[in-house]
Amino acid sequence: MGASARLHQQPRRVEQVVASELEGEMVLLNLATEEYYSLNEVGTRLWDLTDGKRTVAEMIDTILQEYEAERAGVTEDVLALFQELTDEGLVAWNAA
Amino acid sequence: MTVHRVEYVLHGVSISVAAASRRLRAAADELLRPFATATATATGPASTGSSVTGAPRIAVKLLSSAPPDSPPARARTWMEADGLCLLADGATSYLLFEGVYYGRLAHRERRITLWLARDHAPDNWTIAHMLLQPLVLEALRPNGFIAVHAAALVDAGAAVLFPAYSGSGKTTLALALLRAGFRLLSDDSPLLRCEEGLVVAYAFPEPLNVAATTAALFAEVAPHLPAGLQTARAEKAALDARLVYGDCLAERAPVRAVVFPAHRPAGGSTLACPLPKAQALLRLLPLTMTSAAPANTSTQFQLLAHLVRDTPCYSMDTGGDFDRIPSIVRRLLRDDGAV
Repeated sequence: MGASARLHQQPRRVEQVVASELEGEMVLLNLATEEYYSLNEVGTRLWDLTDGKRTVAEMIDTILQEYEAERAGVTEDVLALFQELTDEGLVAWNAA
Repeated sequence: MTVHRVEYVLHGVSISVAAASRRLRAAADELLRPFATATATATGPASTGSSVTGAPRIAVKLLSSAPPDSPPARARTWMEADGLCLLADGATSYLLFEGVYYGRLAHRERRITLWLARDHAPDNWTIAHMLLQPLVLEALRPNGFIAVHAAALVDAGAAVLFPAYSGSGKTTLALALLRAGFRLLSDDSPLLRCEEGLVVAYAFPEPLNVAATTAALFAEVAPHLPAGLQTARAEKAALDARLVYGDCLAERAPVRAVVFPAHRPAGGSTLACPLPKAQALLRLLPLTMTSAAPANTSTQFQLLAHLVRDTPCYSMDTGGDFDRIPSIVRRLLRDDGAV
């Protein structure tokens, strides 16, 4: 699936992932693989927004309201992050 | 057949050991000795009744025969490190060391069985630390305990943790602090448990593992290194810290500082500075033992996150100034910031 097709889909956190926010940085543990990850401030905000209900496009709108940034750059970064989270088995996608 | 039976109590958990020989009993004793509360010799099979103390019970059998079976082919690996391989199938874990199957843990019954056939049994250090210890640690999880690869010492009722891989100077730090009046919980594998919102460190009863290079830095240690207690790693020797520093063991204390040590390459002065919490957690996670059950690993993650969130965390480059290190660590325990 092309990355831009994800814009109108709803990502959700996978159950086997546990997370803890520390000083604005999210640390994730995938219990299935026992791999650890950390997310920066914007990544942490996106993880909070990843509830299986919001689409990626809605999340991008939220980020643009909260941070001063160009839409094109934010869209590219957010799609890249969700691709990475998907590849690592940390998020799954609800049907469109 | 004579069964040598010993009852230990480790932080309220009864560990009943039935060994097929005095030698195997001594191997268990090497791991659990400081917490032995009763000793008995009996004949016949080990009983499965309640413990002497009425405390929750882990039953250990050390047999001098070959295992009657092998781990099932479908068993999945849940831990692999230092020659050790732990597999799980259903509610049973299987332990292999250097490719040889030695024993298993029945999780529900909390029953550990090791088969140590006379001709092939490893030395007592290996039995105690590579075979028995991982299974005992896993069996302790229902009691809320997790093990972390760290040194842990206590000053004025507050514990400091030094999480680090082997060879990072944990024992050297422990000796420098013992010399200055700190008390020892463990130089390698303390237990942690969350109690009323606090993370409390508990002793795990092991001797110090002292390398020759470390012993050379602490003159008081050398006369007490017993030649007969060589560890499996030939360059290190087991040392009972009490022989050198007297009544210096502690059983438990709340953790008030987490300090990640590293050797300062060119010696020099020891330097500690605060560590961001997320970095501290990412450094701590690989230093804990995973569990056969993902739910336990999740609980462990939350406990460690709680620990770093509520406790000042530092990195410390350790120099050759061992006389200064105790005062630096005391300042960190008082949360005086970077030193």
